[in-house]
Amino acid sequence: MITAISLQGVTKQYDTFALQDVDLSLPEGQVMGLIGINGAGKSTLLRLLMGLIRADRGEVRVFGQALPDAQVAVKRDIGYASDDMRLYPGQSLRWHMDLIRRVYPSWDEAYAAHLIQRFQLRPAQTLGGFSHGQRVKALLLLLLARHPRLLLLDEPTTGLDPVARGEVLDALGDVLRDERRSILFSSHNTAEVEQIADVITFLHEGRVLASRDKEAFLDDWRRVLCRGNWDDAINALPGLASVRCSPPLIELKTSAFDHSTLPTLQALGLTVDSVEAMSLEDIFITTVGKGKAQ
Amino acid sequence: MNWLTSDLRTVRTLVLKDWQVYQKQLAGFVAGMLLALGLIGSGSPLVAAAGALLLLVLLLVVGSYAISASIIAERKQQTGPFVMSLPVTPMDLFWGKLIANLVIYLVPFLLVGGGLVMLVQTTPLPDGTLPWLTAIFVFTLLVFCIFLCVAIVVDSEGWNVFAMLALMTLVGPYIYWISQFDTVIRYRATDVVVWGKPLLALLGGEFVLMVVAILIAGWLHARKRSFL
Repeated sequence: MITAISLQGVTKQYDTFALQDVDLSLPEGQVMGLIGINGAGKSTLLRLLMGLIRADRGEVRVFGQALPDAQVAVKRDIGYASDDMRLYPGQSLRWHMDLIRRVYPSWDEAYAAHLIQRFQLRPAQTLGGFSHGQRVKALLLLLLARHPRLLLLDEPTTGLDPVARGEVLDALGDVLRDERRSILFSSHNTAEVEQIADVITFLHEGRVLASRDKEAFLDDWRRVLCRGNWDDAINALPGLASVRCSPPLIELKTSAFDHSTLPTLQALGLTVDSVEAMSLEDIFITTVGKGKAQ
Repeated sequence: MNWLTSDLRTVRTLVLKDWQVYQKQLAGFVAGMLLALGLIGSGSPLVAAAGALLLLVLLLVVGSYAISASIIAERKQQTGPFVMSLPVTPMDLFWGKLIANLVIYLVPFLLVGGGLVMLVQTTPLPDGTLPWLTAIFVFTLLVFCIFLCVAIVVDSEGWNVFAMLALMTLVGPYIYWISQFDTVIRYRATDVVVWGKPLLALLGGEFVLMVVAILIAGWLHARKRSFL
Protein backbone atom coordinates (compact mmCIF):
# COMPACT_ATOMS: atom_id res chain seq x y z
CA MET A 1 0.00 0.00 0.00
CA ILE A 2 1.34 3.43 -0.94
CA THR A 3 1.49 5.96 1.88
CA ALA A 4 0.41 9.39 0.77
CA ILE A 5 1.49 11.19 3.92
CA SER A 6 3.87 10.18 6.66
CA LEU A 7 5.06 12.22 9.62
CA GLN A 8 7.33 10.68 12.23
CA GLY A 9 8.35 12.45 15.42
CA VAL A 10 7.80 15.83 13.81
CA THR A 11 8.41 18.88 15.95
CA LYS A 12 8.21 22.52 14.94
CA GLN A 13 8.89 25.16 17.55
CA TYR A 14 7.73 28.77 17.38
CA ASP A 15 7.96 31.46 20.05
CA THR A 16 4.50 30.88 21.46
CA PHE A 17 3.51 27.56 19.92
CA ALA A 18 5.02 24.18 19.18
CA LEU A 19 3.94 21.21 17.12
CA GLN A 20 5.21 18.33 19.20
CA ASP A 21 6.20 14.78 18.29
CA VAL A 22 3.57 14.31 15.62
CA ASP A 23 3.27 10.80 14.19
CA LEU A 24 0.70 10.51 11.44
CA SER A 25 0.19 8.60 8.25
CA LEU A 26 -2.44 8.53 5.53
CA PRO A 27 -2.65 5.65 3.03
CA GLU A 28 -3.28 6.58 -0.60
CA GLY A 29 -6.95 6.90 -1.48
CA GLN A 30 -8.11 7.90 1.98
CA VAL A 31 -9.58 11.12 3.32
CA MET A 32 -8.33 12.43 6.62
CA GLY A 33 -10.17 15.13 8.50
CA LEU A 34 -7.97 17.17 10.77
CA ILE A 35 -10.01 18.67 13.57
CA GLY A 36 -8.76 21.27 15.99
CA ILE A 37 -9.59 24.63 17.42
CA ASN A 38 -7.89 27.79 16.15
CA GLY A 39 -4.19 27.63 16.96
CA ALA A 40 -4.14 23.85 17.37
CA GLY A 41 -1.43 23.49 14.72
CA LYS A 42 -3.48 22.43 11.70
CA SER A 43 -2.02 25.04 9.34
CA THR A 44 1.52 24.37 10.57
CA LEU A 45 1.04 20.67 9.85
CA LEU A 46 -0.21 21.35 6.31
CA ARG A 47 2.64 23.80 5.63
CA LEU A 48 5.11 21.12 6.67
CA LEU A 49 3.49 18.75 4.20
CA MET A 50 3.86 21.35 1.44
CA GLY A 51 7.52 21.93 2.26
CA LEU A 52 6.80 25.58 3.00
CA ILE A 53 8.35 25.22 6.45
CA ARG A 54 11.01 22.83 7.71
CA ALA A 55 10.52 20.64 10.75
CA ASP A 56 12.97 21.22 13.60
CA ARG A 57 12.99 17.49 14.24
CA GLY A 58 11.47 14.38 12.70
CA GLU A 59 10.70 13.25 9.19
CA VAL A 60 8.04 14.48 6.79
CA ARG A 61 7.35 12.40 3.69
CA VAL A 62 4.78 12.69 0.92
CA PHE A 63 4.52 9.75 -1.49
CA GLY A 64 7.76 8.50 0.05
CA GLN A 65 9.73 11.65 -0.73
CA ALA A 66 11.30 13.69 2.06
CA LEU A 67 10.25 17.29 2.53
CA PRO A 68 11.20 20.02 2.06
CA ASP A 69 14.12 18.68 -0.02
CA ALA A 70 11.86 17.07 -2.64
CA GLN A 71 9.31 19.87 -2.56
CA VAL A 72 9.31 20.61 -6.30
CA ALA A 73 8.58 17.00 -7.27
CA VAL A 74 6.07 16.58 -4.45
CA LYS A 75 4.21 19.82 -5.15
CA ARG A 76 3.49 18.62 -8.69
CA ASP A 77 1.31 15.96 -7.08
CA ILE A 78 -0.29 18.16 -4.42
CA GLY A 79 -3.18 20.57 -4.65
CA TYR A 80 -2.95 22.95 -1.70
CA ALA A 81 -5.47 25.56 -0.65
CA SER A 82 -5.43 27.47 2.59
CA ASP A 83 -7.70 29.97 4.21
CA ASP A 84 -5.02 32.68 3.93
CA MET A 85 -4.27 32.02 0.26
CA ARG A 86 -5.38 34.66 -2.24
CA LEU A 87 -5.36 34.82 -6.02
CA TYR A 88 -4.30 37.95 -7.93
CA PRO A 89 -7.21 40.39 -7.53
CA GLY A 90 -6.41 42.34 -10.71
CA GLN A 91 -6.31 39.24 -12.93
CA SER A 92 -9.11 37.18 -14.37
CA LEU A 93 -9.88 33.56 -13.60
CA ARG A 94 -8.89 32.73 -17.20
CA TRP A 95 -5.45 34.27 -16.57
CA HIS A 96 -5.02 32.10 -13.47
CA MET A 97 -6.11 29.02 -15.42
CA ASP A 98 -3.55 29.77 -18.13
CA LEU A 99 -0.84 30.19 -15.50
CA ILE A 100 -1.65 26.84 -13.91
CA ARG A 101 -1.86 25.18 -17.32
CA ARG A 102 1.66 26.40 -18.12
CA VAL A 103 2.99 25.01 -14.84
CA TYR A 104 1.18 21.65 -14.75
CA PRO A 105 1.14 19.40 -17.82
CA SER A 106 -1.73 17.45 -16.22
CA TRP A 107 -4.13 20.41 -16.59
CA ASP A 108 -7.48 19.18 -17.89
CA GLU A 109 -9.19 21.97 -19.84
CA ALA A 110 -12.40 20.00 -20.36
CA TYR A 111 -12.74 19.30 -16.64
CA ALA A 112 -11.97 22.96 -15.92
CA ALA A 113 -14.81 23.97 -18.25
CA HIS A 114 -17.08 21.52 -16.43
CA LEU A 115 -16.17 23.02 -13.05
CA ILE A 116 -16.73 26.56 -14.36
CA GLN A 117 -20.28 25.53 -15.27
CA ARG A 118 -20.81 23.72 -12.02
CA PHE A 119 -19.53 26.55 -9.83
CA GLN A 120 -21.17 29.19 -12.06
CA LEU A 121 -17.98 31.20 -12.43
CA ARG A 122 -17.14 33.71 -15.14
CA PRO A 123 -13.61 33.14 -16.48
CA ALA A 124 -13.27 36.68 -17.85
CA GLN A 125 -14.08 38.33 -14.53
CA THR A 126 -11.22 39.61 -12.40
CA LEU A 127 -10.81 37.95 -9.00
CA GLY A 128 -11.19 41.32 -7.27
CA GLY A 129 -14.87 41.24 -8.21
CA PHE A 130 -15.47 37.72 -6.86
CA SER A 131 -17.30 37.07 -3.62
CA HIS A 132 -15.53 35.01 -0.96
CA GLY A 133 -17.45 31.92 -2.02
CA GLN A 134 -16.52 32.45 -5.67
CA ARG A 135 -12.85 32.91 -4.73
CA VAL A 136 -12.86 29.61 -2.85
CA LYS A 137 -14.52 27.87 -5.78
CA ALA A 138 -12.04 29.44 -8.22
CA LEU A 139 -9.16 28.19 -6.10
CA LEU A 140 -10.66 24.71 -5.96
CA LEU A 141 -11.16 24.75 -9.72
CA LEU A 142 -7.47 25.59 -10.21
CA LEU A 143 -6.55 22.64 -7.98
CA LEU A 144 -9.01 20.03 -9.17
CA ALA A 145 -8.58 20.62 -12.92
CA ARG A 146 -5.00 19.39 -12.75
CA HIS A 147 -5.93 16.13 -10.99
CA PRO A 148 -3.44 16.16 -8.09
CA ARG A 149 -2.90 12.85 -6.29
CA LEU A 150 -3.13 14.56 -2.92
CA LEU A 151 -5.29 17.48 -1.84
CA LEU A 152 -4.25 19.48 1.22
CA LEU A 153 -7.08 21.77 2.19
CA ASP A 154 -6.68 24.12 5.13
CA GLU A 155 -10.14 25.22 6.32
CA PRO A 156 -11.56 25.15 2.77
CA THR A 157 -15.10 26.07 3.76
CA THR A 158 -14.43 28.78 6.33
CA GLY A 159 -16.63 31.81 5.75
CA LEU A 160 -18.81 30.15 3.11
CA ASP A 161 -22.57 30.35 3.20
CA PRO A 162 -24.41 27.01 3.51
CA VAL A 163 -25.14 26.78 -0.22
CA ALA A 164 -21.55 27.45 -1.27
CA ARG A 165 -20.30 25.07 1.44
CA GLY A 166 -22.57 22.37 0.08
CA GLU A 167 -21.31 22.93 -3.47
CA VAL A 168 -17.70 22.73 -2.36
CA LEU A 169 -18.31 19.55 -0.36
CA ASP A 170 -20.18 18.01 -3.29
CA ALA A 171 -17.24 18.77 -5.58
CA LEU A 172 -14.90 17.15 -3.09
CA GLY A 173 -17.27 14.20 -2.93
CA ASP A 174 -16.88 13.77 -6.69
CA VAL A 175 -13.13 13.82 -6.34
CA LEU A 176 -13.39 10.98 -3.85
CA ARG A 177 -14.76 8.69 -6.54
CA ASP A 178 -11.18 8.42 -7.73
CA GLU A 179 -9.94 5.78 -5.32
CA ARG A 180 -6.31 6.79 -5.71
CA ARG A 181 -6.93 10.37 -4.66
CA SER A 182 -5.97 11.25 -1.09
CA ILE A 183 -7.26 14.24 0.84
CA LEU A 184 -6.16 15.81 4.08
CA PHE A 185 -8.37 18.65 5.12
CA SER A 186 -8.50 20.66 8.27
CA SER A 187 -11.61 22.15 9.77
CA HIS A 188 -13.23 23.06 13.00
CA ASN A 189 -16.57 22.14 11.50
CA THR A 190 -16.94 18.56 12.68
CA ALA A 191 -20.16 18.00 10.73
CA GLU A 192 -18.45 18.36 7.35
CA VAL A 193 -15.49 16.27 8.47
CA GLU A 194 -17.93 13.57 9.53
CA GLN A 195 -19.55 13.85 6.10
CA ILE A 196 -16.53 13.00 3.95
CA ALA A 197 -13.58 11.78 6.05
CA ASP A 198 -12.46 8.15 6.38
CA VAL A 199 -9.95 8.91 9.10
CA ILE A 200 -10.31 11.46 11.88
CA THR A 201 -7.40 13.16 13.60
CA PHE A 202 -7.82 15.43 16.59
CA LEU A 203 -5.11 18.02 17.03
CA HIS A 204 -4.87 20.14 20.13
CA GLU A 205 -2.12 22.48 21.33
CA GLY A 206 0.31 21.05 18.81
CA ARG A 207 -0.26 17.41 19.75
CA VAL A 208 -2.21 14.63 18.10
CA LEU A 209 -4.81 13.59 20.66
CA ALA A 210 -6.29 10.82 18.55
CA SER A 211 -6.13 9.55 15.00
CA ARG A 212 -8.44 6.73 14.01
CA ASP A 213 -10.81 5.36 11.47
CA LYS A 214 -14.08 7.34 11.57
CA GLU A 215 -16.36 4.37 12.00
CA ALA A 216 -14.25 3.04 14.88
CA PHE A 217 -14.39 6.47 16.48
CA LEU A 218 -18.14 6.65 16.29
CA ASP A 219 -18.63 2.99 17.31
CA ASP A 220 -16.40 3.12 20.36
CA TRP A 221 -17.68 6.34 21.88
CA ARG A 222 -20.88 6.29 23.92
CA ARG A 223 -22.67 8.54 26.35
CA VAL A 224 -24.15 6.45 29.15
CA LEU A 225 -26.73 7.82 31.60
CA CYS A 226 -26.92 5.89 34.86
CA ARG A 227 -28.70 6.14 38.14
CA GLY A 228 -27.23 5.20 41.52
CA ASN A 229 -24.59 6.11 44.07
CA TRP A 230 -21.13 7.27 43.12
CA ASP A 231 -18.36 4.72 43.52
CA ASP A 232 -14.68 5.60 42.96
CA ALA A 233 -14.35 2.34 41.05
CA ILE A 234 -16.24 4.04 38.21
CA ASN A 235 -13.05 5.99 37.49
CA ALA A 236 -11.38 2.70 36.51
CA LEU A 237 -13.89 2.09 33.73
CA PRO A 238 -11.94 1.44 30.48
CA GLY A 239 -11.80 4.50 28.19
CA LEU A 240 -13.60 6.76 30.61
CA ALA A 241 -13.24 10.27 29.20
CA SER A 242 -15.75 12.30 31.17
CA VAL A 243 -17.94 11.91 34.24
CA ARG A 244 -20.68 14.21 35.46
CA CYS A 245 -22.29 13.35 38.73
CA SER A 246 -25.54 14.94 39.80
CA PRO A 247 -26.96 12.44 42.31
CA PRO A 248 -28.67 10.22 41.67
CA LEU A 249 -27.83 10.78 37.96
CA ILE A 250 -24.39 9.98 36.59
CA GLU A 251 -23.38 10.76 32.99
CA LEU A 252 -20.39 8.88 31.62
CA LYS A 253 -18.63 9.30 28.29
CA THR A 254 -16.37 6.50 27.23
CA SER A 255 -14.11 5.92 24.24
CA ALA A 256 -14.03 2.13 24.76
CA PHE A 257 -17.64 1.09 24.84
CA ASP A 258 -18.12 -2.64 24.23
CA HIS A 259 -20.20 -5.60 25.41
CA SER A 260 -18.56 -5.54 28.87
CA THR A 261 -19.29 -1.90 29.68
CA LEU A 262 -22.91 -2.24 30.81
CA PRO A 263 -22.36 -5.38 32.98
CA THR A 264 -19.44 -3.57 34.63
CA LEU A 265 -21.64 -0.59 35.48
CA GLN A 266 -24.42 -2.85 36.76
CA ALA A 267 -21.90 -4.71 38.91
CA LEU A 268 -21.08 -1.35 40.49
CA GLY A 269 -24.71 -0.98 41.51
CA LEU A 270 -25.73 1.45 38.78
CA THR A 271 -28.92 1.30 36.75
CA VAL A 272 -28.35 2.21 33.14
CA ASP A 273 -31.07 4.56 31.86
CA SER A 274 -29.79 5.13 28.33
CA VAL A 275 -26.87 4.54 26.00
CA GLU A 276 -26.42 7.09 23.19
CA ALA A 277 -24.09 7.38 20.26
CA MET A 278 -22.08 10.58 20.25
CA SER A 279 -21.57 13.12 17.50
CA LEU A 280 -18.05 13.79 16.30
CA GLU A 281 -18.27 17.27 17.78
CA ASP A 282 -19.14 15.86 21.18
CA ILE A 283 -16.32 13.33 20.89
CA PHE A 284 -13.87 16.09 19.97
CA ILE A 285 -14.94 18.36 22.83
CA THR A 286 -14.74 15.46 25.29
CA THR A 287 -11.31 14.42 24.00
CA VAL A 288 -9.97 17.96 24.30
CA GLY A 289 -11.50 18.27 27.76
CA LYS A 290 -9.90 15.00 28.80
CA GLY A 291 -6.53 16.22 27.49
CA LYS A 292 -6.83 19.41 29.54
CA ALA A 293 -7.80 17.49 32.66
CA GLN A 294 -4.74 15.26 32.28
CA MET B 1 20.68 25.39 -0.67
CA ASN B 2 22.77 26.11 -3.72
CA TRP B 3 21.61 29.50 -4.86
CA LEU B 4 22.43 28.89 -8.49
CA THR B 5 20.33 25.76 -8.75
CA SER B 6 17.08 27.03 -10.14
CA ASP B 7 14.89 25.70 -12.88
CA LEU B 8 15.09 28.04 -15.86
CA ARG B 9 11.63 27.17 -17.13
CA THR B 10 10.07 27.80 -13.73
CA VAL B 11 11.88 31.13 -13.34
CA ARG B 12 10.74 32.15 -16.83
CA THR B 13 7.13 31.34 -15.89
CA LEU B 14 7.39 33.45 -12.73
CA VAL B 15 8.92 36.36 -14.64
CA LEU B 16 6.21 36.17 -17.30
CA LYS B 17 3.56 36.10 -14.56
CA ASP B 18 4.82 39.33 -12.99
CA TRP B 19 5.25 40.95 -16.39
CA GLN B 20 1.63 40.18 -17.26
CA VAL B 21 0.37 41.39 -13.89
CA TYR B 22 2.12 44.78 -14.08
CA GLN B 23 2.34 45.50 -17.81
CA LYS B 24 -0.71 47.81 -17.89
CA GLN B 25 0.63 50.02 -15.12
CA LEU B 26 4.02 49.94 -16.82
CA ALA B 27 2.47 51.20 -20.05
CA GLY B 28 1.06 54.16 -18.09
CA PHE B 29 4.48 55.01 -16.72
CA VAL B 30 6.08 54.76 -20.17
CA ALA B 31 3.40 57.11 -21.55
CA GLY B 32 4.21 59.59 -18.77
CA MET B 33 7.91 59.34 -19.54
CA LEU B 34 7.33 59.93 -23.24
CA LEU B 35 5.34 63.04 -22.30
CA ALA B 36 8.27 64.17 -20.16
CA LEU B 37 10.63 63.65 -23.11
CA GLY B 38 8.29 65.72 -25.25
CA LEU B 39 8.42 68.52 -22.70
CA ILE B 40 12.23 68.38 -22.59
CA GLY B 41 12.39 68.70 -26.34
CA SER B 42 9.86 71.54 -26.48
CA GLY B 43 12.49 74.25 -26.81
CA SER B 44 11.22 76.31 -23.90
CA PRO B 45 13.72 76.26 -20.99
CA LEU B 46 10.94 76.42 -18.41
CA VAL B 47 8.92 73.57 -19.94
CA ALA B 48 12.10 71.53 -20.53
CA ALA B 49 13.03 71.90 -16.85
CA ALA B 50 9.56 70.71 -15.86
CA GLY B 51 9.91 67.78 -18.26
CA ALA B 52 13.32 66.83 -16.84
CA LEU B 53 11.95 66.88 -13.30
CA LEU B 54 8.93 64.82 -14.35
CA LEU B 55 11.22 62.31 -16.04
CA LEU B 56 13.43 61.98 -12.97
CA VAL B 57 10.43 61.55 -10.68
CA LEU B 58 8.86 58.94 -12.98
CA LEU B 59 12.13 57.00 -13.20
CA LEU B 60 12.27 56.80 -9.43
CA VAL B 61 8.56 56.13 -9.00
CA VAL B 62 8.31 53.36 -11.61
CA GLY B 63 11.02 51.46 -9.76
CA SER B 64 9.52 51.85 -6.31
CA TYR B 65 6.05 51.11 -7.72
CA ALA B 66 7.21 47.86 -9.35
CA ILE B 67 8.86 46.71 -6.14
CA SER B 68 5.98 47.81 -3.92
CA ALA B 69 3.39 46.13 -6.14
CA SER B 70 5.17 42.90 -6.97
CA ILE B 71 6.91 42.18 -3.68
CA ILE B 72 5.55 44.22 -0.75
CA ALA B 73 1.89 44.23 -1.88
CA GLU B 74 2.02 40.49 -2.63
CA ARG B 75 2.93 39.90 0.99
CA LYS B 76 0.00 42.03 2.13
CA GLN B 77 -2.49 40.63 -0.38
CA GLN B 78 -1.45 37.08 0.53
CA THR B 79 -0.87 35.99 -3.04
CA GLY B 80 2.51 34.65 -1.85
CA PRO B 81 1.10 31.34 -0.55
CA PHE B 82 -0.48 30.75 -3.97
CA VAL B 83 2.87 31.16 -5.72
CA MET B 84 4.68 29.10 -3.06
CA SER B 85 2.19 26.29 -3.59
CA LEU B 86 3.41 25.94 -7.19
CA PRO B 87 6.30 23.53 -7.79
CA VAL B 88 8.96 26.15 -7.10
CA THR B 89 11.88 26.46 -4.68
CA PRO B 90 12.70 29.56 -2.63
CA MET B 91 15.57 30.25 -5.05
CA ASP B 92 13.24 30.00 -8.06
CA LEU B 93 11.14 32.63 -6.38
CA PHE B 94 14.20 34.80 -5.69
CA TRP B 95 15.38 34.74 -9.28
CA GLY B 96 11.82 35.17 -10.54
CA LYS B 97 11.28 38.31 -8.47
CA LEU B 98 14.74 39.71 -9.22
CA ILE B 99 14.58 39.21 -12.98
CA ALA B 100 10.92 40.23 -13.29
CA ASN B 101 11.55 43.51 -11.51
CA LEU B 102 14.72 44.19 -13.46
CA VAL B 103 12.84 43.60 -16.71
CA ILE B 104 9.89 45.73 -15.56
CA TYR B 105 12.29 48.57 -14.70
CA LEU B 106 14.78 48.21 -17.52
CA VAL B 107 12.12 48.36 -20.26
CA PRO B 108 11.09 51.97 -19.52
CA PHE B 109 14.63 52.79 -18.38
CA LEU B 110 16.24 51.79 -21.67
CA LEU B 111 13.36 53.12 -23.75
CA VAL B 112 13.45 56.52 -22.14
CA GLY B 113 17.25 56.55 -21.86
CA GLY B 114 17.55 55.85 -25.57
CA GLY B 115 14.90 58.46 -26.30
CA LEU B 116 16.76 61.03 -24.26
CA VAL B 117 20.03 60.36 -26.08
CA MET B 118 18.25 60.77 -29.41
CA LEU B 119 16.58 63.93 -28.18
CA VAL B 120 19.87 65.46 -27.09
CA GLN B 121 21.56 64.58 -30.35
CA THR B 122 18.79 65.72 -32.66
CA THR B 123 17.78 68.97 -30.95
CA PRO B 124 19.70 72.11 -30.01
CA LEU B 125 20.19 70.67 -26.49
CA PRO B 126 23.97 70.54 -25.78
CA ASP B 127 25.50 67.11 -26.46
CA GLY B 128 27.97 67.67 -23.63
CA THR B 129 25.17 67.09 -21.16
CA LEU B 130 25.07 63.35 -22.02
CA PRO B 131 27.71 62.15 -19.49
CA TRP B 132 25.95 64.08 -16.73
CA LEU B 133 22.54 62.66 -17.73
CA THR B 134 24.01 59.15 -17.96
CA ALA B 135 25.41 59.44 -14.44
CA ILE B 136 21.97 60.46 -13.13
CA PHE B 137 20.25 57.62 -15.01
CA VAL B 138 22.71 55.01 -13.77
CA PHE B 139 22.29 56.28 -10.22
CA THR B 140 18.51 55.81 -10.44
CA LEU B 141 19.23 52.26 -11.63
CA LEU B 142 21.52 51.74 -8.63
CA VAL B 143 18.85 53.08 -6.27
CA PHE B 144 16.36 50.68 -7.85
CA CYS B 145 18.68 47.67 -7.56
CA ILE B 146 19.50 48.27 -3.90
CA PHE B 147 15.84 48.84 -2.98
CA LEU B 148 14.88 45.71 -4.93
CA CYS B 149 17.42 43.61 -3.06
CA VAL B 150 16.32 45.00 0.30
CA ALA B 151 12.66 44.33 -0.53
CA ILE B 152 13.37 40.73 -1.55
CA VAL B 153 15.42 39.94 1.53
CA VAL B 154 13.63 41.96 4.23
CA ASP B 155 9.99 41.11 5.00
CA SER B 156 9.37 44.12 7.23
CA GLU B 157 7.33 46.80 5.45
CA GLY B 158 8.74 49.45 7.80
CA TRP B 159 12.34 48.67 6.87
CA ASN B 160 11.41 48.65 3.20
CA VAL B 161 9.83 52.10 3.43
CA PHE B 162 12.88 53.33 5.34
CA ALA B 163 15.23 51.94 2.68
CA MET B 164 13.18 53.54 -0.10
CA LEU B 165 13.13 56.96 1.57
CA ALA B 166 16.81 56.81 2.47
CA LEU B 167 17.78 55.96 -1.09
CA MET B 168 15.49 58.62 -2.58
CA THR B 169 16.98 61.34 -0.41
CA LEU B 170 20.41 60.52 -1.83
CA VAL B 171 19.35 61.52 -5.36
CA GLY B 172 19.42 65.30 -4.78
CA PRO B 173 22.86 65.39 -3.12
CA TYR B 174 24.17 63.01 -5.78
CA ILE B 175 23.07 65.29 -8.64
CA TYR B 176 24.62 68.26 -6.83
CA TRP B 177 27.85 66.29 -6.31
CA ILE B 178 28.33 65.13 -9.90
CA SER B 179 27.45 68.60 -11.14
CA GLN B 180 30.64 69.76 -9.43
CA PHE B 181 32.82 67.38 -11.45
CA ASP B 182 35.38 69.34 -13.47
CA THR B 183 34.43 67.78 -16.83
CA VAL B 184 30.76 68.35 -16.15
CA ILE B 185 31.26 72.02 -15.28
CA ARG B 186 33.43 72.60 -18.36
CA TYR B 187 31.55 70.67 -21.04
CA ARG B 188 27.89 70.31 -19.97
CA ALA B 189 26.77 73.41 -21.85
CA THR B 190 28.83 72.62 -24.98
CA ASP B 191 28.39 70.16 -27.83
CA VAL B 192 31.57 68.28 -26.86
CA VAL B 193 31.00 64.94 -25.10
CA VAL B 194 33.73 64.42 -22.50
CA TRP B 195 33.35 61.66 -19.92
CA GLY B 196 36.52 62.07 -17.87
CA LYS B 197 38.10 59.46 -15.59
CA PRO B 198 36.27 60.41 -12.37
CA LEU B 199 32.86 60.06 -14.02
CA LEU B 200 33.76 56.76 -15.68
CA ALA B 201 35.13 55.43 -12.39
CA LEU B 202 31.93 56.51 -10.69
CA LEU B 203 29.78 54.72 -13.28
CA GLY B 204 31.95 51.59 -12.99
CA GLY B 205 31.65 51.73 -9.20
CA GLU B 206 27.88 52.02 -9.44
CA PHE B 207 27.64 48.93 -11.64
CA VAL B 208 29.89 47.02 -9.21
CA LEU B 209 27.62 48.09 -6.36
CA MET B 210 24.58 46.76 -8.24
CA VAL B 211 26.23 43.37 -8.73
CA VAL B 212 27.35 43.28 -5.08
CA ALA B 213 23.81 44.10 -3.89
CA ILE B 214 22.38 41.29 -6.01
CA LEU B 215 25.05 38.82 -4.81
CA ILE B 216 24.42 39.69 -1.15
CA ALA B 217 20.63 39.34 -1.61
CA GLY B 218 21.11 36.00 -3.36
CA TRP B 219 23.47 34.76 -0.66
CA LEU B 220 21.08 35.79 2.13
CA HIS B 221 18.14 34.22 0.32
CA ALA B 222 20.06 30.99 -0.26
CA ARG B 223 20.52 30.68 3.50
CA LYS B 224 16.76 30.37 3.91
CA ARG B 225 16.06 26.71 4.52
CA SER B 226 12.40 26.98 3.53
CA PHE B 227 9.86 29.53 2.33
CA LEU B 228 8.45 30.62 5.69
